[in-house]
Amino acid sequence: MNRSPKASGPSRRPSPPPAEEAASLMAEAKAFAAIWHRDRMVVSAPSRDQAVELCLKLISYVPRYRQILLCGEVPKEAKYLKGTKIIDAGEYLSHQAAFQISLAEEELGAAPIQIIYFGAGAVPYQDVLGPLDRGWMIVDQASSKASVEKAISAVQEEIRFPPGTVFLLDPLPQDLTIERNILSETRLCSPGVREYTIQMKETEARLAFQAILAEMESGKTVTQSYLAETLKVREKTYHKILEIGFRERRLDLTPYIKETAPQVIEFLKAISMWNEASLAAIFIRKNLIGYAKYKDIDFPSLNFLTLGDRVEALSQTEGDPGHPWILELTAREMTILLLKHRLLYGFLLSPGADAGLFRSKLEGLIEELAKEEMGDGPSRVYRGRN
Amino acid sequence: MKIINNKLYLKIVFFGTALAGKTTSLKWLFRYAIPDEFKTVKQVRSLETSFGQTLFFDFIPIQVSSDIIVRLFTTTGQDYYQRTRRLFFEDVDGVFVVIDSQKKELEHNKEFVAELRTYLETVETLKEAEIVILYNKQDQDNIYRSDELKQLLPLAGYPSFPVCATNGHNLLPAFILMMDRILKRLRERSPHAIFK
Amino acid sequence: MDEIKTIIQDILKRVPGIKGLILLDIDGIPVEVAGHFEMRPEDLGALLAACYNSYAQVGTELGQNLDMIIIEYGDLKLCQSGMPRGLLTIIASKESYLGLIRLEAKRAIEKIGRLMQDTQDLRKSMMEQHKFRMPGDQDIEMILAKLRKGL
Repeated sequence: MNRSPKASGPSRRPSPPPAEEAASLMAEAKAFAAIWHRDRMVVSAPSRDQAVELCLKLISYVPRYRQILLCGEVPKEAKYLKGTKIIDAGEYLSHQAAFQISLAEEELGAAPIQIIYFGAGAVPYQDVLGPLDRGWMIVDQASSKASVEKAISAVQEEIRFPPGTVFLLDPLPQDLTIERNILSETRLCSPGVREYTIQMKETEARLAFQAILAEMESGKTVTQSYLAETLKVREKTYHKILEIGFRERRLDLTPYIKETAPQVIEFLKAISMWNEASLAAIFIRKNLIGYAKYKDIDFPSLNFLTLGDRVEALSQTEGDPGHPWILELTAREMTILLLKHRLLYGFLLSPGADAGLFRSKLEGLIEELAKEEMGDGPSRVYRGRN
Repeated sequence: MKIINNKLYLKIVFFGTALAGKTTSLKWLFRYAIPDEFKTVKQVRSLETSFGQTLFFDFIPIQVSSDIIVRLFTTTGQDYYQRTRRLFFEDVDGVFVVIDSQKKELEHNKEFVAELRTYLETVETLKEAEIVILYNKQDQDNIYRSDELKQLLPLAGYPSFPVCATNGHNLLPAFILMMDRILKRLRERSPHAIFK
Repeated sequence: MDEIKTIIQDILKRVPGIKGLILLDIDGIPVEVAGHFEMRPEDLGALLAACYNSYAQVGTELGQNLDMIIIEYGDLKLCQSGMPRGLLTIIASKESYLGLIRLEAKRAIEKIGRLMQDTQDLRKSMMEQHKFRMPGDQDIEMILAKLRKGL
């Protein structure tokens, strides 16, 4: 792989890798995803040194905020790794109890742990790692699928990852797009840039999950559109945030977040076919139920609500609140269009767009959407953990 | 002042630090001192005006004769709006400078008076405006008396009144003095803008 | 300002569906009103100025100076166009053509904006023409006497 210092950075998308390289990239993406998702695994290579080499490669995928615990016959190459803690050999049962407490504390927000056990022979699997359902890796030499299955657990996936093999004991995450994209976009970069990009994405996901949780705990109604806008994430990242959050904190927030209704998605897709809109947002009362940014523009959808409130406040002086209305604000570089028609629709039109034409095209779409029945709250209200 | 459609519009503003008592003074004058025959509105209005600029204030229009309308405004007094104050003084005829007499406000008052002096020196229409100082909150504890404040703040030369905006003490005499001065100077000056 | 009056009256007569036009100065004072309104011009001016500035403030926060605001509410269409020293509001019926109103508003504010330029020369020439009678000592004393009654 070309890792010349002149190679392009992650922001420039390199051309697709050749087939052989693509296969190796896929294998790496699987390993990356498995570690990010805290899947259980056995890492093996023909020699001990090679197994350690492979393990050190995999450690670069472990998010920095996780506490890495090194156990067993810890090799000297791993002893001085930053951010790791060596657990001395001792009572296996006390290890197991300590790990279980750590995993339990993760649920309360403590840093998640990643256990790395060196030497399968040194691992009292049944007593120490067996009861732990996530977050551990055994580093061994000359293991085969059969030997792993015999001694430890059924292998879900076997990944050839030079200089060895990674045996995954948990099913792989379904969607590896994010992992594959990061690795693909940084394949021409130095290992430092690649690690930075991986760590940045992992930290972003962790912080985003904490933010979603805080938002819910504050009693706010949280919709997928609202999160997509406020966290500035695309749909796949949004799902990844929730999955990783679930693996790290055992909190499944999905039922508490209102998904974007299919008819709203269709509406937003239809607008994307035209050229006028840079951004569209749909609200039921104060809840953002649909959001799409068609052009790279910085315009918080909250502005639509602020303007809507003003129209409502002024129209109430006429003694007729709740009546449909349209507001169009034209400035040199943009036009804001706001329509109240059961739902509140906000659009930011591109410079030079014909507002009149856009409005006439919108009429039919709005009529269609108005016929649909859409709930306006989350399916469940998050009340914190008991 | 402005003449629009053969009516003369005078502008008087209450200018002071946040919570100095500007709106309280305006409201007291409107409720208890302005004769009903002058009132053209039933209550103090809260408005945002000056196109394209942010300017929040309370305001009352009063019609003192068939062709003279006096418009009284308050500033927000918040630092956030400092940049809009120049606009606020546009076409102004009289300024009530409201000073919070509490001892703890002295530093704020000094900064505020320094800012006021800058405006007085640089804003053309303000140079011709009548200035009346209101030393407010004189009924409270831990305050400087008005004669002490005259020494502490560089506002000598302007007429002043020790006032209490909550019970209206001295507000009407201050308003009468302001009106007297503005009206008597009318003939000496040209209106700032005329639209017939 | 006869020229402003002519421009405004002309739009009212010419464009179908327009119910009225109001020109306000920078402080919300009605400069010219055409058409019939139930509200007092002073109150209407304050309401329209508040309305425009409420939206313009959002524009300012976004770093944009608004050129035009159109509000359609119930049976009315409101088209407000700002200029350096004033605001023109056109009030039209639901059936009116928005495209035509936009065009008329654009053309009108160009002309009126020029006329409302508050230059020193203009002030002087208007001072000579104006019919306003400055209050005499007796008028002033009468106003002050009414105020003194409250003492």
